[in-house]
Amino acid sequence: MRPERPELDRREHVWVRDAQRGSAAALEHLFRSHWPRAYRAALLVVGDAAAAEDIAQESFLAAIRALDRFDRRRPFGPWLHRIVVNRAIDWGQARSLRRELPRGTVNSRLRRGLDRLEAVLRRETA
Amino acid sequence: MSERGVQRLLGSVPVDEQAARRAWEIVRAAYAEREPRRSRRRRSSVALVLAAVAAAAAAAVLSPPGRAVVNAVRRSIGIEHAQPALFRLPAPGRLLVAGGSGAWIVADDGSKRRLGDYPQASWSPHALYVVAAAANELAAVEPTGRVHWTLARPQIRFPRWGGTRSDTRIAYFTAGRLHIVAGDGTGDVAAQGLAAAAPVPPAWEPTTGDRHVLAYVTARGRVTVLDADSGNVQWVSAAYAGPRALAWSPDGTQLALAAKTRVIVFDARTGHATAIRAGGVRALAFAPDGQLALLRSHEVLLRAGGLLHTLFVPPGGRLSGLVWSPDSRWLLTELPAADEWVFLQVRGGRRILAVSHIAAQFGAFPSLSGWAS
Repeated sequence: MRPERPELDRREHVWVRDAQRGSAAALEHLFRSHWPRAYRAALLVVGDAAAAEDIAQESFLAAIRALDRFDRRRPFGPWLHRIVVNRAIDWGQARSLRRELPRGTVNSRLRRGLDRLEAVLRRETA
Repeated sequence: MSERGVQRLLGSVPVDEQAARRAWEIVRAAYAEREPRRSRRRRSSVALVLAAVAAAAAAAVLSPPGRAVVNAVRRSIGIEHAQPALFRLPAPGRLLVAGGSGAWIVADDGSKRRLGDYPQASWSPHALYVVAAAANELAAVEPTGRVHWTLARPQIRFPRWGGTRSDTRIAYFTAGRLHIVAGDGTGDVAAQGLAAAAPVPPAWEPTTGDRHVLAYVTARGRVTVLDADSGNVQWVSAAYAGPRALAWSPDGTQLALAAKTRVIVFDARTGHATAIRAGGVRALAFAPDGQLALLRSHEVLLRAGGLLHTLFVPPGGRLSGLVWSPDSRWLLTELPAADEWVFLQVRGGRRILAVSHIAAQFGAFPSLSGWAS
């Protein structure tokens, strides 16, 4: 049975705090808890399993690099998913180099789908 | 597609457990090191097959509307061919490149002129001349290719020209020693006169006065700012591991160093150092309007408002070289493995222009030396 949301929040708060203090076990809890969503979100956007793996993985690495600056009062999930979304956009724009496309156009089209995705993710982790 | 549809798709897409295991190993290692570091794909042929199976499974699970969303996104991303040749530069100015096939100047209409058999070159301060170097020869050359003077020196590297219109200096290395010569080729400092230098191109302070101030990195990784006229050292920094690039801000108030694990921005007057947490930076460049761009092997970053933003991530291969257009609107970087130049628009739009077949156009893939007005 899934734990209640407040309990999850409390656990996550502790995991983030402990991970900031150097606990690999806490980081693993965070990873196990958020990897499926991060991977699925990336896969849904880019439609390529290998790219989705890279995007989700690099998003976690980016999160680790910024972990010391992360505000523990905020939920971890939406923050990570924002990174995933940005990485997915980067992936898309990287492929736009083969055609002369206004980057803003790519962004606006991509963002419409991503905004819906984010709204769902945010609601689920709120 | 509705949010409910997205929610359903999110729940139905299968997660590749092997991908999760691979990712966790990399995340755990990166966490243990606690240093900025890019991930590397570790994918065996078996894993590739599994990934392909996962992708097929995901595709099978996605509903027709879901596929439509994904396809629309992919269409919007678009994969088309790069321009097959450099028909023109996207901004006014002249581009200087050099490499195995010599030094070349590219005009903004795309026309090219070969200056000679020089694998290294850089512009004079006002782009009226080029200082070029072969292995054992330093030469001052007009953009037409006419040679003004030459100096025979062994193992020349990193020639850099600085100063005012009326009085210029050229710095260069010979086998790790730093030399300074006047712009007319006279007064070369004795080979043993200056300290051994790290393999980082020296940089002249942009100046409107009559001073000639040079920054270089010593063999021990210390940034040294030297008054080339008096020989006085203005300041010396702490030692930094893995120095790779050095650049002055256009107003001469800042000096940036790319080191192995970070970028250091020095106050040019005092030497006071401020670190930017960006490891693996291989090149950096200030735009004429003051923007700072950084190049890692797999991304181009732009520093704005004290924050770093990713400007470009290539689809594959390592990036090299970074130059700004004279109007500060475009950055040019290279993808040697793809035989491509990539122009990145920074102002007035966000276009990315790729040009392929670079090696065929120059006889060999050249390095970017500068883009001058």
